Amino acid sequence: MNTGLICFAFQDAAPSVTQARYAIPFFAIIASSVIAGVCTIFAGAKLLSTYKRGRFLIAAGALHVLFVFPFGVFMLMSVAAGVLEIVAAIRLRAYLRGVLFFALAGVMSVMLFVLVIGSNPFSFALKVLGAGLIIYGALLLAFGFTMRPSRQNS
Amino acid sequence: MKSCPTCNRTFEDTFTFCLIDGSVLSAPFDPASTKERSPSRDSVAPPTEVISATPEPLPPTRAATPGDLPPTIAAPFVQQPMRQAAQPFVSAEVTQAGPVPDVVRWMFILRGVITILLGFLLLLWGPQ
Repeated sequence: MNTGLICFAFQDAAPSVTQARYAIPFFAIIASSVIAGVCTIFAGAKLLSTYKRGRFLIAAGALHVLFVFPFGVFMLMSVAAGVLEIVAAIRLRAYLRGVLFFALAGVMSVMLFVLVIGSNPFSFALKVLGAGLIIYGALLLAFGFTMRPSRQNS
Repeated sequence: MKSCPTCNRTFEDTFTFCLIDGSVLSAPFDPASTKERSPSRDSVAPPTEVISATPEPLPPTRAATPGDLPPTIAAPFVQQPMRQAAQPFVSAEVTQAGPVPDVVRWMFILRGVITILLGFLLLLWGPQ
């Protein structure tokens, strides 16, 4: 366990994080997390108006928007958002097909926390985070492309 | 008039069954002629008829031809509505909901693309 990473991750103004060399990845993380959160909130609102299901999705999106910094909070947010996405997938399974990919994305989001916290040094942790995010994004893409109304609903 | 063979009551010709015991009424008859004939009714039994032991030969059987059968009448064809197969129980909430809004699909696709791009950035990015 990278205890040093944990200590630095939960510092709001960790010197190493604010260094210029980490500025680009952290800006990218924050920007993408906010955009993903807005997308999730919008999708959740649409699903809420259509199927009366989507509150958990909106909550997950709100977490993505609000808790992006510091890095440790971002990773904890990833765990909480992943759990909310799994719950949302379970609740939406009666209405949508393809929610399995979304549930797997939630599992991947939870696993990212363990993978990143367990990686050392920090630069390697970022690479692990990048690899995990690629898988996570691929699962979201699969969910987006395979999303269909349930057979009962068509 | 008709008479009941069980209770001997008489009924109008329009009746078929006895109103008392439900028996089938006899064939219509004229009560006047019956009254006239009743006194002269012969109580002597008719002579016993002897049936010959050798029965008369029956006419030869033959296969029925289409001409023997009455013509069939085609029933008028009435179009019946198609019956749908039994549907599984679906709650009203589910059936009333419409298809997935396209914007939801594109939101997740956009989110997936952004996440993949971020992943590649973090994967390929190295501290100087």
